[in-house]
Amino acid sequence: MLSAAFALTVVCVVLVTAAPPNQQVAQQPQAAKGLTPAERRGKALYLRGESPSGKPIVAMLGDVDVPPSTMPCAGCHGLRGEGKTEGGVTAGNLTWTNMIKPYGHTHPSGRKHGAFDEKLFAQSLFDGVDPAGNKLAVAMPRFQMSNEDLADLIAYLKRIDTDRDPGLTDATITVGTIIPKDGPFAEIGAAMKEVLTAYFANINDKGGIYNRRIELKTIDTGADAAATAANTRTQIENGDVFAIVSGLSAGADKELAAVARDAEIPFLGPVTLLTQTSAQENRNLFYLLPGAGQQARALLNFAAGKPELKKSRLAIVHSENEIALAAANAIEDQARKLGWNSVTRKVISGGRFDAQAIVTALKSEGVETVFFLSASGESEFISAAATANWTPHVFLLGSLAERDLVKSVPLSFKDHVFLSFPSVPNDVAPAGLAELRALEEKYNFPHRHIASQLNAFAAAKIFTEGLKRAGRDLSREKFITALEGLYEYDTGVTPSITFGPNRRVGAMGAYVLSIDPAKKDFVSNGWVSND
Amino acid sequence: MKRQLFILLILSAAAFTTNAQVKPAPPAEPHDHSHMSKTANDASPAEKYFTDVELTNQDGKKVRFYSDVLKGKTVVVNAFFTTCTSVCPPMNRNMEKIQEALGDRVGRDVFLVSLTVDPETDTPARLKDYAKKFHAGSGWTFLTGKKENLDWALYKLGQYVEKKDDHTTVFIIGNEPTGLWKKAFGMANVAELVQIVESVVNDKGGTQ
Repeated sequence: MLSAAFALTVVCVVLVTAAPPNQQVAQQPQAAKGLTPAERRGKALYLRGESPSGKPIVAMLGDVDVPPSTMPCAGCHGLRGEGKTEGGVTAGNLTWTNMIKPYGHTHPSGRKHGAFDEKLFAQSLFDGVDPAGNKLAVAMPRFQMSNEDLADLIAYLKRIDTDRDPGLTDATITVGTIIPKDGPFAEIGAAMKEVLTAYFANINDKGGIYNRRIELKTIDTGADAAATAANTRTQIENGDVFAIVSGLSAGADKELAAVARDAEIPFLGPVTLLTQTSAQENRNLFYLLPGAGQQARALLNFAAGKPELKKSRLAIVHSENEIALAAANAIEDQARKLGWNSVTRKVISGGRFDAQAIVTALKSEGVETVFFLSASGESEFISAAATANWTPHVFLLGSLAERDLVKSVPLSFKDHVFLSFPSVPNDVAPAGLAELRALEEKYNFPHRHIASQLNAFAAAKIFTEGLKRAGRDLSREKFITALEGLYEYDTGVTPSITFGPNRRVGAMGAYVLSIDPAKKDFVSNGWVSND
Repeated sequence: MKRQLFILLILSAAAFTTNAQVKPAPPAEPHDHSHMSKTANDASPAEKYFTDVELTNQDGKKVRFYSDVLKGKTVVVNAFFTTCTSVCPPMNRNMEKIQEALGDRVGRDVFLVSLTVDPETDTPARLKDYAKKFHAGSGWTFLTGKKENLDWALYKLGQYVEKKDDHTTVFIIGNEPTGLWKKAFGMANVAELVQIVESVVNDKGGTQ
């Protein structure tokens, strides 16, 4: 089972190293399908305060003009024009059907007026008065905008109550998954797709989620990261995809993160070691398992918890691949936070690795703790250290470690070699596995590439849970908020998953395992959190 | 004249908040009894009233609400949250305008204090970003912390709410040494707000 975990993480590594240098992805706003051009322009104005015609829009609040982008309509009146109350200010319902009701409106404050029409709406926007000539609330800016922009805005308000997020109809939710159609990883991708297809088919057999069927659309990874991002972007724009779930897209992490951010599409459960975790910068990405950075922090926390290692002389030996760099930076940052003063970095560049030279240098510096982050070379390093009669504590990312390491560690390094893992076989509970097996039988697909299948299974399960929590009146925004409420959710096959407004990695930390060289086996040291 | 203006503002603030729910039940007093820095007998009336709960500022530094934020100072305090898209931006824009109007007196004669009503989301890092957006100088502190501590500080200011969307748009302007506290509508005209702030800064104490 552990080898399964290895297999999956190795896949990520290979994909990453195989990826060409990052290419800038052109930023294009997502087209809202089904809207007329005027409605689409009106939507941009409504949601973001952008002027579709390029002519200036001015928003005046009292004597102060505020950038319209900081006070777009949607900020107060809601993404769907439904209106809301905050800080004692009630922003009215702006859906056109509501505004033109013939019997007019009585507001909670007692303000009364008759129905709006286009002219009266423009008057309220420009002069801050309702159809009866009453002043609007102080928090409502007075706007100046061109007639074209006004017409677009009104066009959208006439459509806003039936404008749903892409990929969503009354009867369906379309979800995308990004997997390679051919190439060395096509089979793993196919294995994952089998799970997703079966999981959603099973949900649909039971009536779907609030009477909506979940439809799966596969998006092919391209020849390189830029092509993968371009394919995904095209599918999002043309294919009406509500969210992206799971898949095998490592290597295009940055590019896909940018796509998710620009298209404002939730992306749940990408399998990668290069997690982009700032919810502030990108609230659309949700990872199930820890990436290299989170695992590295957990390893350092583990070291800090050992009295003999706390603030010991620490060295980070790392190669220059992205995963090793992400881990090295995280370790240095966490070490600084925990009060380490001396952190040495040694870079293995261009594949030239002289284990003996590094051992000699680090030994003479009195280093006691080594984080070794490279896709190869650790057994060489450890045996060179043993030969030099030097036994530092060595920490490794399990995902980068050589498979045979457990057999090659010399006896003198008992309790001195530690590895991080995002998940361990014990995470797969009998009930969780039984659920997957039942799907295999019912939908007749093979049990293969099990680590990848378990990952897809967990992502599908959390996606479904998020939909249930978001309710029938679904939107991407509500779905994201629902995921943020997930607390210690048990998928049955992974560590428990918690998201939050500032948390985008479900399992924040790592399992730390040490190696028993006599038994040539792993010893568990439990789950170590990231904090 | 000033007094009339002030009353007017208070009234408008009241009218403005009539939509808000009935006043919520008070939050539980924080369990941390070390929040009083001195024995109750030594404490000043303000310290006794506010107590001294621990909060965290936008730089991640722990501060005590009375000892570090209020004691010996004139303050303008408001409640907000960073992900608020409606009234918070214009309200804090006004705070920024007060900062501009008072120039280098902010941080010396008067201190601006913004307390989040959503501490779970509003980490110090988020507050820091938010502060940057409003060009906050060193005299403008943004505070987050443990929810129970924040709730208590907000409650003592009359600003505690159960739902974050219910927060008010009131500025609380207080001169801690003299004990003069005023309220003003946070989206009022900036010149009027500045006048009120100055009246509190210049208060000499004694009977009003």
